[in-house]
Amino acid sequence: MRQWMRLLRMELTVTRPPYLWLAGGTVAFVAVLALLDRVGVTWMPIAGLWTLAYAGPGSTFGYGIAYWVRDAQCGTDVWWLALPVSGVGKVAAKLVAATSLGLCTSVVGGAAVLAWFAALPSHVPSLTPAAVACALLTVPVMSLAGLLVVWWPLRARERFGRRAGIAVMIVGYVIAYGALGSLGWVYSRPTPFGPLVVTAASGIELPVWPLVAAWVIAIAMVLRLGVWLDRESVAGAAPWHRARS
Amino acid sequence: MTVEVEHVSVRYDAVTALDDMSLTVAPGQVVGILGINGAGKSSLLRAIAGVGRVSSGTIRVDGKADRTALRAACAFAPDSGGVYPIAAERTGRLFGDVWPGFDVAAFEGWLDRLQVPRGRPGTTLSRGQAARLRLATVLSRPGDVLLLDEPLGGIDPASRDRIAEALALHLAETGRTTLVATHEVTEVEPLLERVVVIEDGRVAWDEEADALRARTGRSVDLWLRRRA
Repeated sequence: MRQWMRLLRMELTVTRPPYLWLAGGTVAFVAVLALLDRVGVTWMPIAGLWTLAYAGPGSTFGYGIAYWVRDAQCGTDVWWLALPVSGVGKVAAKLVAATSLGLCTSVVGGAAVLAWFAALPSHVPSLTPAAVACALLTVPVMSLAGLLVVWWPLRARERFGRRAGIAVMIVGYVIAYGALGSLGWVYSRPTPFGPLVVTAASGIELPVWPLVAAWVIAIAMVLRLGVWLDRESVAGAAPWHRARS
Repeated sequence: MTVEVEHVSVRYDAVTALDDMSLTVAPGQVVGILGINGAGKSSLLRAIAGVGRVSSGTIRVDGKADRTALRAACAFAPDSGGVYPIAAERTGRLFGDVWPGFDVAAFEGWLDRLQVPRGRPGTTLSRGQAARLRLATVLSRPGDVLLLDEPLGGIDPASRDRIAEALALHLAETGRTTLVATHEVTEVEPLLERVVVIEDGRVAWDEEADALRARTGRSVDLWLRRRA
């Protein structure tokens, strides 16, 4: 147990910097929400509440899983793999570290949005059963989104440089928080054909299930791409290796 | 410890990195794993270290073949990664906490000897500095087999000889069985007792370094260049 606690402390120390990046992105996102609200895009703060309440622990849990998958499949972090601790202990430490740091991020972000709501009471959403169901759905989906907002940008930065990492992170944030935020909002608006997603303040609506399916496919592709990057890199067979030789 | 590689193949989708390779390394021997980019050097080291894919065949270190035993016995330094977003000296202290046998004092000594910048996160180091940090880590961790993948990659020419000398001293003191995959053959050559050239995932040449030099009248590096 003592050894496991030491491992957890190491995980918390080693993985903290990427989480600070995530926290920074969350704060920036809140700022964007506030700005959009100023110009009349009033659904955005509500979307933000849903995402921030669940995105922190969800996405960072996904981040932990992503690193675990990457290490298990590609042997990327050789020191971690070589540590003489049981595999279960290592995975548990990674996931606990990821989730606890994510919770901190979520609390900070959630508090910021709630403070914003306090200034604008008309935006407080109603907690309908459909909305609660949506929240429950958001948790696993955001776990996958963690790959997009944290893991993929880190991989892009490692491979293609800082600018590429930032670009991918911005795209990831826009997709993950925007799309899933809208998902949270419109679940309280069911129709005979299933819930509809409000995609913009203009009121354009889309069926939710194709969007969810698209998300799952997109994230699966992201995961596959990340593993491919590592595996092909190890094999010396990735395009940049071929180009070099 | 003896390292035995028996009919090992490694495949990544359509790419065959190692093709039915067999190789035995005697305890304490220092072997240079040479070959062009993509020949299969890294895949071989990763497979022996228990962190890479093995599609078929068996790898044994001291008679044990399971991955946990390989990871415990083999101190493997990859050619990239292996650095964390925290200061180098902090990495050593963390490893000292969780890794029985990790020698923190030795790690501190290696940081100085290899001139690794202190106080800077490992992920912000240059390629050469990160290579030095990986070396400091791998030379301080337990494991009777040392696997070094491009240990001098990115390190400036002026420092390579000095680092190679420090490495030679360490190997003489510890007697670790060592496999070194490298393109910096000139600097590493004094360490090598045996030369294995890999081509297309197979052993294309395997000879004692002294015998090769006596037979050809050339250094291993020169022989390799002529051979190519």
